Amino acid sequence: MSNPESGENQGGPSSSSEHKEFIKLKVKGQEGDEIHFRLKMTTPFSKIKKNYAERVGVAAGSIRLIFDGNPVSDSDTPRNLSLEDDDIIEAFVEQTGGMLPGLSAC
Amino acid sequence: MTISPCFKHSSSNSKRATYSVEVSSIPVQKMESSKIQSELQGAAGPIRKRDVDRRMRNNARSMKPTEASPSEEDNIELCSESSSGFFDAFDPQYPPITKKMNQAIENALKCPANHVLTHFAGQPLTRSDLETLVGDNWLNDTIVNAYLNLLVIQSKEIPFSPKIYTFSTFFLERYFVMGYNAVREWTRDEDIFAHDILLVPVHVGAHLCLVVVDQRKKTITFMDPNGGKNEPLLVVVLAYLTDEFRVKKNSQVCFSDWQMETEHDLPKQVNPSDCGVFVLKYAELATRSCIGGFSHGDVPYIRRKMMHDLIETRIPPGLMEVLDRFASGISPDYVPRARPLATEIQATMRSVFNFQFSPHKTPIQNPTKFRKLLQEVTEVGGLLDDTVITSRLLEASPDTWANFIQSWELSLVNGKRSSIFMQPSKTKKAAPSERQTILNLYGAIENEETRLKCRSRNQQ
Repeated sequence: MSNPESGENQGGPSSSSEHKEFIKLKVKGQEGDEIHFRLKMTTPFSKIKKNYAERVGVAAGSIRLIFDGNPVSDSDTPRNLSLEDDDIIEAFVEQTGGMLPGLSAC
Repeated sequence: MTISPCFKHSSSNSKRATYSVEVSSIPVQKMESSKIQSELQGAAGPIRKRDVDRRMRNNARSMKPTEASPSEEDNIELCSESSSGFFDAFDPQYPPITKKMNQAIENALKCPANHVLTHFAGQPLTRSDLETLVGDNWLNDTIVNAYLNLLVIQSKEIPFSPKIYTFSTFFLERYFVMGYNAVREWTRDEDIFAHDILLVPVHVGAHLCLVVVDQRKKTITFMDPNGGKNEPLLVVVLAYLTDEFRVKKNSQVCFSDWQMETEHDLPKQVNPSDCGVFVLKYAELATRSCIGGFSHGDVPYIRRKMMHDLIETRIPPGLMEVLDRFASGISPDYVPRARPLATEIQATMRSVFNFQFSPHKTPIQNPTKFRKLLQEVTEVGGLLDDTVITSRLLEASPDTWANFIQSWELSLVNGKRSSIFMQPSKTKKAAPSERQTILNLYGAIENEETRLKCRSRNQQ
C-alpha cells in the first residue's frame, strides 16, 4: 500500500477523518497476509469480518478482529474507533484449547 | 537451546469435544437451595459502604476501646444475618451454586448462538462462547480472555488485592511471530510495569498454558496443566518485558536477577479437554489470596461456577475478601477497633480455611509450617497490621490451635474435605458463629497464656 491514492483524503490526515466518508483499512492475518478494504466510516465491522472470513475460508464467528490490542466488536465502526487510512486491523482465528500431549517436546 | 516456543496455528475447527453433555446432568454441589440462597443473598450480596459504616458505627458504640477481649456486642453485628450457613455462603473455594444461579445459567444457554450475553474489555461474550464451558468442551479464547479480565475487574474492587494486568491469548504469539512493533500499541493504555502481576495466557498448538509474571517477586513462572516445561516460552516473555521497558520507559533495565521457573506443584488435568479450566484456575490462584487448592474432580463445579460468574460479570467474593472490605472500608481513626476486629476474624478464618482445603498443611500436624504460613499471610495480607493480635496469634502454641480446631469439630476424615463446609444440614451440630470462633480462640489463647505464666512463675 505504498501508492497514496488521492481518493477521499484530500484534507489533513487527522483533522479530516471525522468528515471523510470512506476509509481504507488493512486486515492482517496471523500469517502476515494482508487484505485491503475500502469502506464507509459508518460500516459496522461485522461486514468486514464476514467478508474477510469468506476470503480466508473460515466461519465468521471464529474470526477475532483486534485493533491495537483491543477487540473490535461487530457493532464498531471505523468512525467510533477513530480509525485513519491504512490502519491495520489484526485478524485472528478462534483459539480452542484442550491438550497437546507432545508439548514438552517443543 | 534454540528458542522455539512451538506456536502452531490450530485450524478453527480443530478437535473439539462434542456438545454431548446435557447441562442439567452436571452435578451441582450443595443445592441446599432456599436456605443457603437466602443466606447467600443476605450475607454474600454486595456489601454497600453505607451498610458497613452503619454496622461499624453500631459496633463502635458498643466497643470497649481499651481491651482486646471482645464483648458479645463487638461481633454480633458481623454475624447477625447469618447462622450456621455463614461459612458455606462464604466458602471461598466452593460457594454453593444456588437455584437462582442455575436458572441464570440455563437461561443464558437457551439464547441464540450469537446472542451477546455480556462484554469483557470490549470483547462480546456470546452464548456459543459460553457453551465451551459446558461438559468436556474445549474452552475458546473468548472465555479465557473474559475470565482473566474478570479477575482483573475483581482485583480492582477488592482493596489490597495485587494489581493485575492480563494479556490476551493472542498476544505472545503475535509478539513472537511479528516482533515487538506488532504489539507495541497493545499496551498503549496501561503501564504494565505498574502492576504487581501480569497474566500471560499462551495458546500453544491446541493447548493452553499460563505464564505468570510477578513483578514483586521478580519471577516468571510457567504453569502447564499438562505438567510440561517450556523454557523458551519464558525467554520470550522476558524478551518482551525487556523490549517493553526499553521502549515505553526509554531506558534499559536488567532482568538478569529475575527467576524463570516452572511450577510443578499444581493440580494437573487428566483428560484431553480441561486445560483451559485449569489455566483459569491457576490464574485465580495466583491473583486471589483466599482460594485454596482444587483438583480434577472439582472441574464440573468450577466450569459451572465460571459460567455463572461470567454471565454476572462478577465473582462473588470469598469470605476473606468480604472481610477485606470490612477491614479496609473503615478508616482506622474513625473506629480504631474495627480494623483489628475484622483482621482477627480474617486471620482465624484463614487458618481454618487453610486447614480445611489443604489437608497436607494441617496446622496440628505441622505447627511450625502452619506458623510460617500464618506469618506469610501476615506479610502478604498487609492487613494484619495489629502487631499485638498478630503476635498473639502467632505465638499461640500448637496446642492452642489444636484445641481451637477441635472446638470446631473440623476433623479430617481420610484427608477429604470434611463435614461442615460440604453438608451443612447433615452435620449433627451447627458450626459455631464467627463470634464464637473468636471467643473460642481468645479463650484458648488466654488459657494458654495463663498456663505459660503459671508455669514460669512456678519455675521461678
